Amino acid sequence: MIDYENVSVSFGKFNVLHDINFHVNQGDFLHIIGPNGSGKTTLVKLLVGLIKPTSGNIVVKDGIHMGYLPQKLNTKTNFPMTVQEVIYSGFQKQKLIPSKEDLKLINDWLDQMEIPQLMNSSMAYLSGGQQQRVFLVRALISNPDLLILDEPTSALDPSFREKFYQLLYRLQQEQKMTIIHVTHDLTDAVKDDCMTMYVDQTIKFFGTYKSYQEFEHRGHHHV
Amino acid sequence: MFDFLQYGFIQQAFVIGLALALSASLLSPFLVLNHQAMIADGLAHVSFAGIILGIIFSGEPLYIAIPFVIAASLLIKYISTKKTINGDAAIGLVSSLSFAIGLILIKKGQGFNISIESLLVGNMFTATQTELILSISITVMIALFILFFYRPLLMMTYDENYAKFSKIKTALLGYILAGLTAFFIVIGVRTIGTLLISALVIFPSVISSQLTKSFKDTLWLGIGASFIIVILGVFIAHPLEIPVGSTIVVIYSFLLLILLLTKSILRR
Repeated sequence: MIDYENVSVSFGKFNVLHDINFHVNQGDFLHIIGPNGSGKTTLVKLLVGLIKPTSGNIVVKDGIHMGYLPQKLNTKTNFPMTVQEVIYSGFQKQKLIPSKEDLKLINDWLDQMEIPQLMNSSMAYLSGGQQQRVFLVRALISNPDLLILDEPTSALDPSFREKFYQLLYRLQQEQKMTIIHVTHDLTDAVKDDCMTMYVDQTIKFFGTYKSYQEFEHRGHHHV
Repeated sequence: MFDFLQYGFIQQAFVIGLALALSASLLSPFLVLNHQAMIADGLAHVSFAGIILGIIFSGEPLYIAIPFVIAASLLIKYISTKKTINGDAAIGLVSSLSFAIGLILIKKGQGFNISIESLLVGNMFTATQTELILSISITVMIALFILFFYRPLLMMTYDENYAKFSKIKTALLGYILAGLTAFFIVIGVRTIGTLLISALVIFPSVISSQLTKSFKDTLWLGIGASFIIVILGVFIAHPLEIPVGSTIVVIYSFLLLILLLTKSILRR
């Protein structure tokens, strides 16, 4: 579904990513980890088209519909925008006035994210965790084939974090959704058969989580 | 008290005033909430030079001024996409250069009887038929643009990266928005004046966003507020023989002050 072919990115003289090659199949759940400044966010920004590679290619299967949760959430304070207006921007077909069905769908998702009754609230008055859930709904609401999440749980409390990952695994299994998940904390996200990538300018490890544990145990990424 | 409404020039001033109020308040949230409020101010300075050029080289100054200012707005937009110069600096560069050119042209074109004062403060009551037609045209163009591209424009204003991810042509929409703003500003400079026209763009959403939760309501309330204030402005300015543009800005400022005071009292 996705192929990175000899991808390198540099900003001026600074090499962010070097010679990245990997393949993602439909229905994969890939966790991308690595230290701060290792190029994790750049890696997914390439995929969603926000950055162009300095060299190499990224090939994505035709007709794939993506959902995306950026790492840096929009925090324009004083911007009058309701939860409904933010989520509606995640719809593939947007009308001038959202239909009743569209509003119902938004409402159902808000229930599922345990933030009901926030539909017409102003984004500016929500907590960081509530805002993050709204942006998650924006990424999920169009039922994407490929979901790209960049640090999706940084503002969520631990109990909801667990429920959120359960939801993702359900989407992966029931709808064959392909999920790419960037995180600095794997502990509550991962299952043994998930694909795991450790990146630090180059790919240092790519394989199942089970084999990653051995790699980590040998202390490779501390070298 | 309403006797003066029977005069053709007053009726025309009303139509132009309301058309410009509608254009300005439609543009307002897309510029102000995207931290581009100063583009209106910068383009007003560019219009100053554009209109002087128009007076020197054409019988109808707007025919030269409009393309001149649209070109400048696209240049500002282009410079600000280059990472070496910030958007606000780009506006400052282009607008001060144009203002300087305008002042040189005035000095060299003294035979053309150009009044600096009329360029700075404008005059709604001496508007020509061409200005009337052009102000209605620009209002229709802006209204159609926002009607057809409301959702993409909203996404671009709120979260540009997400809009790019969603395959919205943010650069193209940005250029069209800048071009329409330029067109509007030139007409506005003739009637409201170089120094005040940007207020017409900035105030509506600054005021309405104090009271609203949604973008949609901010847009509507801004339109409503600017209609009322432009009408009030004409009613107050005419009998007192003071400039309409200045009156409008003073009423806007009063309203904003009252809103901010009320909000801070309620918060206690």
